[in-house]
Order: sequence, then structure tokens, then C-alpha cells
Amino acid sequence: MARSRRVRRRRLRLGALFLVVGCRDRIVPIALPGVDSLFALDQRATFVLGGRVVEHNASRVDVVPASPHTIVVEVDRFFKHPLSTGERTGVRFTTLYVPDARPLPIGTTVIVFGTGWAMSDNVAVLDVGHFVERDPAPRAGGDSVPKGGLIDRFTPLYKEMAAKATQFALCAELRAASLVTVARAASMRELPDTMPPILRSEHSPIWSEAALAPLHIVKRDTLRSDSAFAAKADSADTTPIAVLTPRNKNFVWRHHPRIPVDTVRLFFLYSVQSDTLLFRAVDRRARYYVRDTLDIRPVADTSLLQCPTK
Amino acid sequence: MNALRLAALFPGAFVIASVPFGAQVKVVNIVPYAQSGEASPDPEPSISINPRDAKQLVIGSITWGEDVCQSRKRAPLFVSYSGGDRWGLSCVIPLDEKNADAGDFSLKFGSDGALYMAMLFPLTPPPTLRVLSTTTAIGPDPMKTLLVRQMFDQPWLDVVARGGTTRLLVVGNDKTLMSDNSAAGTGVALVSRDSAGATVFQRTQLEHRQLMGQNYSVRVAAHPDGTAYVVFYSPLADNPDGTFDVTVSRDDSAGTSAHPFAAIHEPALTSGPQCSRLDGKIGVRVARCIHVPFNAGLEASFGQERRVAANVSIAVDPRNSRTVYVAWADSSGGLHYALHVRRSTDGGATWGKVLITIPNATNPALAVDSAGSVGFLFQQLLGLGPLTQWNTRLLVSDDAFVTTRSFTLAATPASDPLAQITPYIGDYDQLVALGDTFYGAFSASNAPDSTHFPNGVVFQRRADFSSKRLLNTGGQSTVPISIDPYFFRVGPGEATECSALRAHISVGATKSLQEDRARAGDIGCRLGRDDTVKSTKAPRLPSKNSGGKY
Repeated sequence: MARSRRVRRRRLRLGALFLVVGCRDRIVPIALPGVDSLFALDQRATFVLGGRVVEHNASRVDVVPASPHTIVVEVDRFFKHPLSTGERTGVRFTTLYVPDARPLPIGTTVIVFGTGWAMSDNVAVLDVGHFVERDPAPRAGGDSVPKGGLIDRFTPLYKEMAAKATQFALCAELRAASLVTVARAASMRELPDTMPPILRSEHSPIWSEAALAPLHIVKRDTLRSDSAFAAKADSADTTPIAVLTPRNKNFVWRHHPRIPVDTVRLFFLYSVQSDTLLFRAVDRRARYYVRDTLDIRPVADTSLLQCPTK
Repeated sequence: MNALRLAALFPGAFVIASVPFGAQVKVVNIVPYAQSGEASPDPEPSISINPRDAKQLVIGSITWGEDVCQSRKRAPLFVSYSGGDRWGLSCVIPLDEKNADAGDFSLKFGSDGALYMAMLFPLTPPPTLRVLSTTTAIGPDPMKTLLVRQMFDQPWLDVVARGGTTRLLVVGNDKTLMSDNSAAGTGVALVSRDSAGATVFQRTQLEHRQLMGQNYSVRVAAHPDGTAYVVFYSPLADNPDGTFDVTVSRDDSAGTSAHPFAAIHEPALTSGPQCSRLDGKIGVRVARCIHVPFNAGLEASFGQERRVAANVSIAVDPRNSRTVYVAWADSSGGLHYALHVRRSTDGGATWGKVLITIPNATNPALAVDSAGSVGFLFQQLLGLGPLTQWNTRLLVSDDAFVTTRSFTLAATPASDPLAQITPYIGDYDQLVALGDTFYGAFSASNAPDSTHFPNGVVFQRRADFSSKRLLNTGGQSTVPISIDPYFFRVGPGEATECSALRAHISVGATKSLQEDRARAGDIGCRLGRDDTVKSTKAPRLPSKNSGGKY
């Protein structure tokens, strides 16, 4: 399950040599109406699927009892699902919990944005939003959704939204970080565990300190508002940056990246708060710790990031 | 609904590997079919069974459900409404922060049928205790939060009905009681009571000796008559190879006495060696001056597992609340961990000799069934090098470990998969009893190999035992093996296979008596006086598949 974020990160590769960051007061208007709304819904959903309502007061998940709030959707396609559930080939039915089933009569085509509720053989999801379309001409047998209907029209819209979503997510991460830099990990040293024994916990991090040689500063306090920059040394920003990164394998720290020496990445750094338990009694020079990194390709492609400043 | 009908309804939904027909032992890999692509480690399970409906069980483990449940807003529990035969996931654990994980789950159904849970969220410092409850483990509403308390670690929970209300007994390591230079004992009990319609908790400090360091693991076991026991490590010196005592205290009113958990004292005996002296203080020390290391990193030589002073267990006899068993782990004589069990029959005031010692093992868990038989679950490292196995076994004894029946629940590789995280198999497993049946949960490798499961196993997730591969939901691709949670159920008496095995031996049809006896040990058969597994303090060398041998 935890792989999803990492895999998404890997997919979100940026051009290293020419990275363009722009700041706008708002998100660039999208071409197709509804993408913003879709994105908001998508952020709340772990499953997005299209299909046809086939049963009311029913359940296809054996640990979920049927109730007036549970309906069964025969799935035509999954647009989004957790990585850990694998591809959904052969999974035909999803049980959907809705506050009110009446707007979803049997036979209607539906796009469901849902969060995971329960699973055994099939999945059950909680409805966080849906689009419904009555099938104007039900077919004999009625076991497939109409061609050119809601699901077919939704597909390109969702693809567009998904493309934007990675950019939105990256922008959010840029905004949240204290310092963002394209840098090379120049060296690494293991910090001694100086935590007083009395504060010892299996959940505590064991820190290493890395020296990052910045190739370019993307953000220091505020996002740069200038245009393109290259992955050459910026004379104003070449001072090595000391950062903390956990080296222990405790599962609590699995989201925090490990940094092989000599790798070049986009680093998202957060300020060290000395008064917190995380950093207490750590003998360090670092002002930042690494919260996330992105792999970057050593090719000269350009990515345009247009991030709202708020 | 029988298995054939289920299989017809849910094709591919479960794979049965070499289950002895009619066996009283059931082992289930509880990762559901729809989660077949899952490859993350799920260690450290806890389990509870609903006393009002034995068909209903829950298991909590470190399960990375953030992409299955509402993204980072909920985490899942495993639920069963079929007595453990089939399991599903239920996203009912509320999370309310991003980039945070939940763990250290302890679960217990109350006699009111409600499910209660203590857990840590977030785990990153400061770790925060949350006590939750729900009347419907399947949701869809999230569990209700009863308590949030920062700087708490290693929580454990029991529930007892008292005075017409349900008392929650939450114990753990309260780090607000320590500073850089001092800790006057951090073990506490938080006991609930109703106050104007709200649930409030009263804190009681459990350690009454002037000690240096954390109490680390604290466990609680309550009897329906209100007797409640706690056991905890008492640190004598706080260093990585710390010296500890193991202390037991008791309360006779479900933690609500005027002086909670102060019912037993040591007598005063000020002469003799330091580690034999008694000080007259509250709490009876069951083990003295033992070494318990704290090493939060994985240890290759200990099956990739860690040792973090988390391995104590306590269980009370449902027939007599004065009979109580304690298990603990310590490191001595060059062993990573050795597990020990002692019993008291006078409410914890005095303790008998060590009943059994299991070398090179971790995750002790005790329970006592309605007949007074004690169950002892543990995970023992056996073998050498790449053949090293985590051998998960349940010993059941009717006579305080003079004789035992041994059930090998899993014998899985300890070096494969490679640890992605710590803990590897977890800092605990759990055993409970209802009526004459033991129920438990443990974590182990999910490699689909029937030789790893002498008592058979049911995989709900998609697996091909012939090629020993895990498959994704669609069956097209191989899924890497990882650590999964398992449920088991062991009923009274012997497996039905035992009579056939006995007959096989008695007519002289056996080719290898040693192998047959090992098999008998694996599935808990009684083969006669000479073949019955006997307890011993001195470990015997394990046989080929270790059944019934220490």
C-alpha cells in the first residue's frame, strides 16, 4: 500500500536541466469545464469507477451486510484504485454505500468517486460524489454500459484532470516546503545517537546528516518567480546545505527518502525545529531535514509548473 | 454457508493448502482476495473475539491502508463474521493528519458487545495514545474517539464490566513522567469511568520503586470478577543492555480501588544477595535482575527482528481469578531472547518455579481457556543460516506445562523476505480464549508453500501453491512475498488426523517413527506417555521440522 506514493513520485519525473517554475495568482484555467471540480473530488477519493447500478439493498462483500444504503454497481472500468488492489481485471462488482439510494435507480450509468470502506472478495466504497446518467435506451440483457455514454465522455476528462493533478500535488509540495533545491548529495555522515536513554523509543528516528551541493534553489522562503534556470551552479546559492535524513528502518520513517551519495534530485526540505522531540539532543549542524525528493531525468526537457501562490 | 458454496460464489477467493480433513486447527492468511496485490509488511497483530457473538472477530496490525481507505484519513481493521474462517478489511480507524501512521493496536470487545481499541497515532514523536470504540466494526462510520493523550507508548487494553458499566483499563508507558535525567517509573494504568455522560480516565502510576528508566511494555489482564493484573518491566539501570525486574501488581475492583493496583506487596527481606532481597513495597517481582536489551534496529542474527523491551504477557484463569500466569523475555546466556513462564495461585502474592523456558524466541502470548488449560503462543527462531525459520507455535497445557500439546502454526523463512522495515514480524502477537477454544493472531512470511504450514492454511489472497507464487487479483503477475497477518483457531482435544496417525504407528506401518512423532507434535496429537511433549528448562535440539520439540 505504501508503495503508491513512491511509485507516483517516480512517475513524476522532472527535467533537470531546464526546470521552469512560474507563480500565478490562481490555477491556470482548464480547457474543459469541470476539471477543477473533478480534482477536488479526486483528492477525496481512493477509487474512481464507472459502471451500472444493478442491485439495491444488496452487497457483494461478504463482511458488509446489505442495507437500504448499499447498492451494487457492475463495473465497466476503474479510473483509479489503490495500487495494493492490483489491476481490477475480473472484478465486476463494487458495493457502494450512499446516504440515499433513490437517485441511483437500477439501470443507471454512474461515475463513482469513493473511498475504501471494506473489502474481501470485492470492494465496498463510501460515496463521496457521483455522476449519474440514465441509459436512454436499455439494451436487451442490459449487462453493459452504452457506447458514447457517460463513461466514454468522462474518460478523456478524467485523463486531463489526472495530468493536472500531478502538477497540483507538486505545487502543494513546493508551497509547503521551507527550501526546495535541485542538488547533488555530496556526502553523508551518520550522527551518533545522543538521545538520552530515558527518551528512547522504537519510533524515534536515527539521523544521518547529508551535505547537499545545490545546483539551483527553487524555493527559499518564497517560490522564485523568475523564469527558467539551468542546472549549472548558481553563484549565489552554492553554499552546501546540511540536511538531516533518517537512516533507521522503523516503519514510521518509510516515507522519508534515503539519499545515495552523488545522486542529483529535487529536494524538498523542511526546517528543523530544535525544541521538538524529533530533533532534541541531536548533535547537528543542519537547519533542514529531508521530507521528500523527486528523481530528475538527466535530459533537457522542460516542465512548466504554474503554481498558485496561495 | 459452506466452503464449496463460497468458492462457487467467489471464484478464486480462497486457496486451501493441505488442510487435514476435520482438523481442529485452522490457520488463515487474512489478507483479502481483493487485496491480492498487496506487498507491504503487516506485522504486529492483536486480536479480539466478541464474547456475545463468537463468530465476530477483529484483528489489528500495522497495515498501510492509506491508499485503500479514505486517503490518510482512515486506517483498516481486519474483521470476520464467520468465526475466523473468512476475513475482510474495514476502514474504521480514524486518522486526522497527513503523513502520519497508526500502530501499536490493542483490541478488546467488551461484554456489552462494543469494540474498544487503544492505539498510537501519530507514532512519530510525540507518540499519541488514542482510545476508540465502536458498536459496528464494519462501519461505515469511523470509531469514536474516547481519549487522546500525547507522549504515550506501547499501549495495551482490557475491558471488564463492573457495577453495570464497562471499565476500560488502558496501560502503557507514559512519557510525560520522564525528563532527560529522571523517570520515576513510566508505567501507568488509565481507568475509565462515566462522568456526566462522558468517558473520563483516571491515571494511576504503577511503579512504586525508585528506578532509573522507562517501564517500556506494560500488559493488563482482567477477570470478570473485577480482579485486574498488570505486568511490566522495571528498569534497574537505563542502558541499551538494561537490567530489569519483571513486576506484577493487582487491583481487586477493576482499577477503581482507593489505591489502584496496590493489592499485593512483597514481604521485607533485607538480607542476602541484592537480587534476592525483598523490599516490602507494592508490586511483586516475578523475575529479578534480568537483562533486556533495547535494539530498535533489525538484527540479522535474530531473524531480522528487533528487541525493544516489549515482550511480556499475562493471563488470568477464568475459573479462578487468583490463578495467573506471566511470561516474559530476557537475554541471557548468549541467547537473543529466552521466554519464561511462571504461575501464581494466590493472586500474584507468590510465584512458583519457572514452568517452561523457550530459547531464542519472542512474542510470548498467554491465555487460559474455560477449562483452565493454558495456551502459550510464541515465535521461535530455529535452524541455521538461510534455513533459519520463524517457528510460530502454540503450546496448550492442562497441567501447568508438565505436559503440553504443541501446534506448529507456521514455520516460515526468517531471511526471506528481506526486511523493508522494522519491526519485521512485530513486537507482539496475541492469544485469547473463549470457551474451550484458543484464537490468535501472528505475522509471518506469506510465501505460499504448504510445507510452511504443518496444520494447513487458507489463503484468501490469490496464491498458487504449486508454483509457490503470490498472484495479483487478475492472476497475471507475481506479487512479491511480504509479511502478512494470520489468524488461527485451535479447538479442544486432538486433530482428527491424530487417530489415523496413531493407528498408522500402532500397526507398525510407519517408515520413520521420528518423522511421525514430529508430525504428531506439529498437529498436537497425544501419542502416549513417551511421545507426549514434555516441558523442560533445558532446550532440546529441534528435530527436522521441530514439531513438539524445543
